[in-house]
Amino acid sequence: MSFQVLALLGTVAAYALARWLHQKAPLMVRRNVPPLLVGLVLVAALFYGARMPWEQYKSGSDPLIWCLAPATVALVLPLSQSHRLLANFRPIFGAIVLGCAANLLWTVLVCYLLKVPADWEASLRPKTSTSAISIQIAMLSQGVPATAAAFSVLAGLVGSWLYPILAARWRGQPISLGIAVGTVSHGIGTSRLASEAKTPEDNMATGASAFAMAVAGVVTALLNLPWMF
Amino acid sequence: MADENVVGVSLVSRVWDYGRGFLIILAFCFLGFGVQRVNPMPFPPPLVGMLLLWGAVQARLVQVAWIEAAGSLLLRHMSLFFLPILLGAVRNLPHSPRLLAAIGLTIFGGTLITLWLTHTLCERWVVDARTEEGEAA
Repeated sequence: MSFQVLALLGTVAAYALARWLHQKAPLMVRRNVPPLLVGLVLVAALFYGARMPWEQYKSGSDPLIWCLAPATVALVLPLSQSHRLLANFRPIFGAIVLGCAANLLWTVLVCYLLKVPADWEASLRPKTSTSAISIQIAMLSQGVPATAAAFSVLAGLVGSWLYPILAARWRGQPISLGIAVGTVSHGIGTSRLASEAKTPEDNMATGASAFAMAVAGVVTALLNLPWMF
Repeated sequence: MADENVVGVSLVSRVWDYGRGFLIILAFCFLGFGVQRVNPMPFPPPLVGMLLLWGAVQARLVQVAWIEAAGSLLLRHMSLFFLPILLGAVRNLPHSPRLLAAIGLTIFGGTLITLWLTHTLCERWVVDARTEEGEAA
């Protein structure tokens, strides 16, 4: 079997196994460990275990990455069920702007205190936008596009790991949860909300998350303007 | 014989539901790429496609029921499509402890701050539907 076929089948098998393990795990584990993290560990084990060249893995798994585009378009489903989003556009927009600004200020402060090189800082700043947008921002602000995409994805993974732990304590409106998740965790958090949605309230949170993901991308680009020119 | 016909019709109807949904979603996906090519902007084409499809749903040019089966399937398994990207992200991490500390602090700290702040502000500012219903009652 070629590495490309092994990469594709192995990634799908790792995902299926991670989902199965997640469903069988006790509630505490299900809440604290995202299935994507388990899937990542399994895929990494396959990749490093088989000593697969990165280029071969990438070309084999390209069809999966391509499917992200139609899956993002499909986020219109929960979005179209959340009519309250437009009615509350101004407060939601304000919350997203302040959330993104706080993240940006924190990043700049940490990078200043730890004397992080300018290109790494420029790659860390746009992580409240989805990776496709952070690549564009990094290119215009002397960052490294691939690194910026990696940080966006890692921030998404951390957000999708933290939100169920925090949500168990918050017990607020589904819209608030969705807006917070979409702002910080973009597609990864939204996909976790979507895959675990069972009630209309869960669907409302998923719709809000998709909406916040789109708005946070634009807001992050605008907040990074001072570094772009 | 009648049962076999019912099963056949049900299968054709499911294939039609999924096929039609995938075609519509793909059409708007490519439309997003087309718009991005004609008018370049710092915005990913699939998000443009999503907003265009949302506009078409609001204008009743497309019914939600047409894309429900295919869209739900894609959303249920969206995490799968992130796995190769995540592996690439982990491979790109630096080896310097100072840089790793900065990355860890900004990602964990920033995520916690933004989650808490955005959630708290939304809780204060967004009108709760349940409160509205209670007042109406």
